[in-house]
Amino acid sequence: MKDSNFVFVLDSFHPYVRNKDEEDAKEEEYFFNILSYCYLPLLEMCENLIRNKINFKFAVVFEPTICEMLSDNILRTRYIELLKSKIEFAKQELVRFSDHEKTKKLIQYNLKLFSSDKRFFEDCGGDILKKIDNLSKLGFIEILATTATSCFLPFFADYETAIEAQIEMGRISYGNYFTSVPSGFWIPALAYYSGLDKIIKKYGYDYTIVDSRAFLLSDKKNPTGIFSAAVAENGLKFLAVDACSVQSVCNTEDSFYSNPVYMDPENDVGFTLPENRLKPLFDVSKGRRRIGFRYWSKVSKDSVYDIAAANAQVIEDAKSFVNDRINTLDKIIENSNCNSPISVLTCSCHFLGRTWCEGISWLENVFTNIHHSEKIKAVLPSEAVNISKQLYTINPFFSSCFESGYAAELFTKDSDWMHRHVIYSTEQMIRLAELFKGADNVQERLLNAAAKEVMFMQGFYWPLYAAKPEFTELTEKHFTDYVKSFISVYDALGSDTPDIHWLSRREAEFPLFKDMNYRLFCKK
Amino acid sequence: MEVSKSYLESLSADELIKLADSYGIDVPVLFNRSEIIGELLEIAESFRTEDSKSSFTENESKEINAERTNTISFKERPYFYNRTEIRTLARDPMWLFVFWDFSYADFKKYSKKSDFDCFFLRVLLFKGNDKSPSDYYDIDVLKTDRSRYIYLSFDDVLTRVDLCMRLQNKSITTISQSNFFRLDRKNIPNILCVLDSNISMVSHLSGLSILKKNHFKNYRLAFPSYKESLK
Repeated sequence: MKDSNFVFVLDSFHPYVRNKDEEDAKEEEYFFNILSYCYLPLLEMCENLIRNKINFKFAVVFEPTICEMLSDNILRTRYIELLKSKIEFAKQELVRFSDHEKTKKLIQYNLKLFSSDKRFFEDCGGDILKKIDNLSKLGFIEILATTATSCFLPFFADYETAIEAQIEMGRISYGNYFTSVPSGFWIPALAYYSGLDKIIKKYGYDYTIVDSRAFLLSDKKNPTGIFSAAVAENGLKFLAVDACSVQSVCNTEDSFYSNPVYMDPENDVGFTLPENRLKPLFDVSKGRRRIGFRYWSKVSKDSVYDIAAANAQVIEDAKSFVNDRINTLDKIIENSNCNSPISVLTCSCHFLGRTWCEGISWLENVFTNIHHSEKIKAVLPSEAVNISKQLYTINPFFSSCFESGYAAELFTKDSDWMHRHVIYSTEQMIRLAELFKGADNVQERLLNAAAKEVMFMQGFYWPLYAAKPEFTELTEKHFTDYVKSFISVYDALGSDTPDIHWLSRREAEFPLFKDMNYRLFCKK
Repeated sequence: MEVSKSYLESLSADELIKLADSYGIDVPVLFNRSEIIGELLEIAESFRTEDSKSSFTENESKEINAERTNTISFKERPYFYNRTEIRTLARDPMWLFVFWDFSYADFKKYSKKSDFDCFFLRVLLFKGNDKSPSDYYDIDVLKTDRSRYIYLSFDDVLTRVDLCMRLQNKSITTISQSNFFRLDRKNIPNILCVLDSNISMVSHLSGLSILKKNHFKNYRLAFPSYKESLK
């Protein structure tokens, strides 16, 4: 009997990076990589599993900015052009290496991915969110709601109005893309603080997910640890991530992902080939970048990737993972009064498929193993929280899913200067919303623009990526742009001298959140 | 060495390794492109600082500094919002990030006093719902400081940080008060300061051992002092 339960959640967050005027912008490339290595292979995985009649269920979270980018026609067109150029490049490489069987095989391996991505993308008319929505209607996928931008909510504990604005705008965006009514709310970075449950419950959500330390360090210990849901006093249910499960998959050492047989995504020919060969793909003077042609494993920079060995390892690792989960959950059944324990694994779209190239293939094998197992089944998180009728009441501890468990990653010498701007701008926005409750047409446009700038600024990816050398300049540029734009709007409102041309340009540059209403920042 | 980030990012892996080798940078087997670029930029910056001390006239240095100030001014400009305020954010359970600003008028008013001594942060600790602090400690800050990380102990539950000024006659003025930050930290040593043999099977499988290791790695100074207080 399948007593044990496995929940998988894929988290997607990414800042808005559409560049209206500049093609070939590096920051767009990062977004296209997520499409190529995560979303499209994930949808193909779903098709394979359905075709092979394998039962599977998992949850996804899409930050609304990602939804907006996935729906943007300019980005869709650029993505198709990028795929075409990569396919053409691969064909030229095949000619060049026509006498080298091993290299040819690797080029074909990479070519297969891009050809498959192109076919899939074109077949669904570029509308992958519709595909996700269809899978949700069929019961395979659950789509959780989240905030408008991925903000670290504990920073805004003193500004409940700002948190409510983020949650409301996130809910409005959700309704634009998905037909289901979400019962689950995803807290960005699983960053929980005591009291957040009241705000989430106010918006009618049934459950949320927290890091394992939220349960482990809470005042009252859940007798079944992280292996069953718990509930807050106000009725909001919690699932906790299985830290051992996440570590076994995602750790940089001693994890499935760290096996040296797997592909090294950093060792990409985009960093090694001479400029003239890469010219058809991108302008090297703008900085080299990954182009997705990777021929080496993690053993060393010269160690050729062995496709067969990697595939065999994927199958073995998937089997090991499922067996480990079964063994763990069996011990929970034996040592507690929990008869249907749950193991929750969360991964981000940046990790699965992109950092761990074989990740999607591994996941497909995990679902296949679970389907054939007699002891464990895959469930949706909304099903998992309702397995037990009696839930233990807890007050989860302050925590996040970052490696530090809290917010240390957001406070570095490259990023701690940002926080004052975010907090002050948030305060100003709340004041503006109260002051201009009855704004006229132009004022309303300005205030809506200001509200957008504040929400963009609140994203935790700015301080997070500022600490990574390859992103420092880009993040500073974008973040500074949002702060300066907010100040421009603030000054324009204060002096009653709106620059309509600037406003129209800004609205065209950031066409997302069309339903933005600055009154979301009014105190309720 | 004339290098820029964009130039380094356009180099191939081999070209980067050659350049790193020529500057004595140790390139690991699993070559990390971003780290090598970061190290080369640091070396370039140190050369530039040395060169600028000798090569430029006083006026040229002033111009360069002015240009650099404009470049970095957004990050570091004082009186940016022209408000006198202090705020705290939690970096983790033990460390608060405190940041403050002065309005131009307030900064002048306080710092130009003839008997001005210094600005300082007063970290106030409250027990339960008492309105009066049970304890406090002071941290002197420079006139140019605008942020600081402060360390809290396991016993602190409710904290507020005040921005204050001290005169030479020791009299104190509270300039601004921060938000309150509440967190019952005692959970951490209560739950983590246990022997592995005393951890239940359920807690162990829930990842308590991983959490212990993580906390010891990040906060190892905290546990011994707490254990001392238990004796």
